[in-house]
Amino acid sequence: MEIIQIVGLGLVATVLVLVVREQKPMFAFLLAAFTGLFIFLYVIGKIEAVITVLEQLADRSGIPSIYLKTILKIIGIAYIAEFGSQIVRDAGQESIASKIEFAGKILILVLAVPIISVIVETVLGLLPVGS
Amino acid sequence: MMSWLAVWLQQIIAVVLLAGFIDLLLPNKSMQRYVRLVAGLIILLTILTPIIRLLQGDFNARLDQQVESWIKGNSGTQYHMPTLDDIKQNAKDLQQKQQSAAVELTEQKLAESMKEGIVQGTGLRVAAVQVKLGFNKDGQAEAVEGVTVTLISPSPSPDASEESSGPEQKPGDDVKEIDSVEVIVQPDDMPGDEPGDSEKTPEQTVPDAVAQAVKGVLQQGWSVAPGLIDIKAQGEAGDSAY
Repeated sequence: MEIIQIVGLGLVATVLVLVVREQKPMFAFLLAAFTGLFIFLYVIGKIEAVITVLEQLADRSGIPSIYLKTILKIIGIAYIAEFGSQIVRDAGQESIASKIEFAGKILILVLAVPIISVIVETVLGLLPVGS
Repeated sequence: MMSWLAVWLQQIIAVVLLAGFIDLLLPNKSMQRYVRLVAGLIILLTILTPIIRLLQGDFNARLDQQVESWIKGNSGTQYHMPTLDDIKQNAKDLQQKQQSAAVELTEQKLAESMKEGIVQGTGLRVAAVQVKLGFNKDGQAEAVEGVTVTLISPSPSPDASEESSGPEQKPGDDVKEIDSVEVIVQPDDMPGDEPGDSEKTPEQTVPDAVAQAVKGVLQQGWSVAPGLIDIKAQGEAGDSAY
């Protein structure tokens, strides 16, 4: 019943934020940020189970471990970038948030570079002209 | 053939499942397009595996290697951007090197001139002079910390005395006296001493008068405290024969 705890925490935090925002917007933002951080850290431990299942799946089917590593890195980057950008967006800094997202996207694409280069090499080797 | 096909299909299914998982796990829409691209590439690579293997042998190793080099190259470029601290550290290192080189040179020059001075001042034959400079806090040479003079024990042959006192004659009287003292003491300590292993055999004691003369020269010329001067005698190869 962890979901109830998390939702309860979220609701309480929301009410508190609404109350505090009138007096001190700064504290409201801090409260929201820390609530988000807490939930994030609380749930990030549970993700381990999912990752274990994915690893088992990869092991059993014999796909190269490099794929799984790449995919896990992508998930991590996406989550962290998203989390950070949401907190910044809460504070009203839309432009910084979009920059964080941009950085996340770039890093994800960077992870794809080795795969792309292997594919391109293969295709070039496939063509008689290219070789 | 069948098993190979089964493995291949298994791989494709696993990768597609993985892609589905990450699609689920992803937080928002804007990221999804990028992640889908990568996932699609991975699926494509898995499907192509048999063809690639047919054409290029084991490509997994190459993929690994490429990823490795990519990551390394990345971190390499990051590492090569020197921070201010790095630059400062570099500067300090260079300075230290330069200083130590300068100190070495100074020591050499000092030793040379001391050698010459001793030869001129006392008429003794000097095998080597080693000067050790002390440092202050900034690592700059401050003072002479020690001087080691290695004298060649003069053999009683007339050659030596000629050589030493012949060309230059500055303080003539001193030279004569010291020479005579040396000659007397010489034979006692000589036997069985080789120039190489001065560590094992006890240092040949240098006659007091000689030591005093050498110290006097050094003190006058370079104002080195007598306590810092260490005088050794070195038997000549010819001497050790008897």
